[in-house]
Amino acid sequence: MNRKGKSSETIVVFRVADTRFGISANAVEEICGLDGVQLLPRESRTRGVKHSLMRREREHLVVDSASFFHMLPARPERVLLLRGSQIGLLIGGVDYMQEVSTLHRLPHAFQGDERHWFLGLVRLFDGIVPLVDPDAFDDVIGIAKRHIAQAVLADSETAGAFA
Amino acid sequence: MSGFDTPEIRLEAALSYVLFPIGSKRFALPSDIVSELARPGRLQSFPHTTPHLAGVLLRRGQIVPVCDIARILSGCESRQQRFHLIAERKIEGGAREWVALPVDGECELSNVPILPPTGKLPAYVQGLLSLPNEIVEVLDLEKVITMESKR
Repeated sequence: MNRKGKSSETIVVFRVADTRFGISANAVEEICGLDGVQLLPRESRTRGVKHSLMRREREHLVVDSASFFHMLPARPERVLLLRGSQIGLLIGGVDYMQEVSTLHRLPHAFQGDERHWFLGLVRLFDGIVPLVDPDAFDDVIGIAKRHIAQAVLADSETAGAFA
Repeated sequence: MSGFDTPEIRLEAALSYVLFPIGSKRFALPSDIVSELARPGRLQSFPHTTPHLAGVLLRRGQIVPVCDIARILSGCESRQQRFHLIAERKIEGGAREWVALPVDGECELSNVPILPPTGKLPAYVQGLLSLPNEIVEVLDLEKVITMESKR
């Protein structure tokens, strides 16, 4: 996808509460229901990651999109599994898929975290949505992994003390 | 649009100013950076952490951010938002970007000469227009928006 429309890309348009987002279909491995989504042990949870999902014998850490994007809590309905990253996104519904040829840069007026969250804006037939950067979740997942590792370590040390 | 590079030069060259109401006061912008006054379009919002940006709208095929500068100018959100003043701001690298400013009523063009700011005025005031029964602050758009972002 470029700014001159010489190539196009399919995006998945999804919803978190009433807000719509887009993400490149190439970045999505699978869209699944909430079956199998489990709460992490309390000591392993972070603000953005409270769930995990086993899928094809691989554990995915699931990011709460509403929390990640600083939105009010929203009822989750689906999980977007991101390709090649073992990251899931807890979302509302998936609206549709659309081929887009132009990625508009985020206007310079936007100077906050959104510059890390979004690759830009895309025009759909019925509006404008931000295009989520699949790499935007790396930090929150990194924090969650460290948190889980510390929890496991603390758990094993406690177990060792009783051995 | 003028090709002037510095606010000082523009201050002399901008012969007219667009006056617009926000709250109970009127403010002004140099007319050379104002593109149009439009009825509010369909606002599209999405999560962000930049203060006072309401979202974006589509205007003449361009995606235009909507910046509610009313809070800094009048101390409260623009309530009526009867129009959007579309203005052009300079961004990094000398590029320009449109921004939509919600205003509370119709605009007026004034050709009164600009006077230098006096007294303790906010940094975003680049000058004053002395009108009958009214002193209008001429805004430095960039400073207003930057101030908004820092709040």
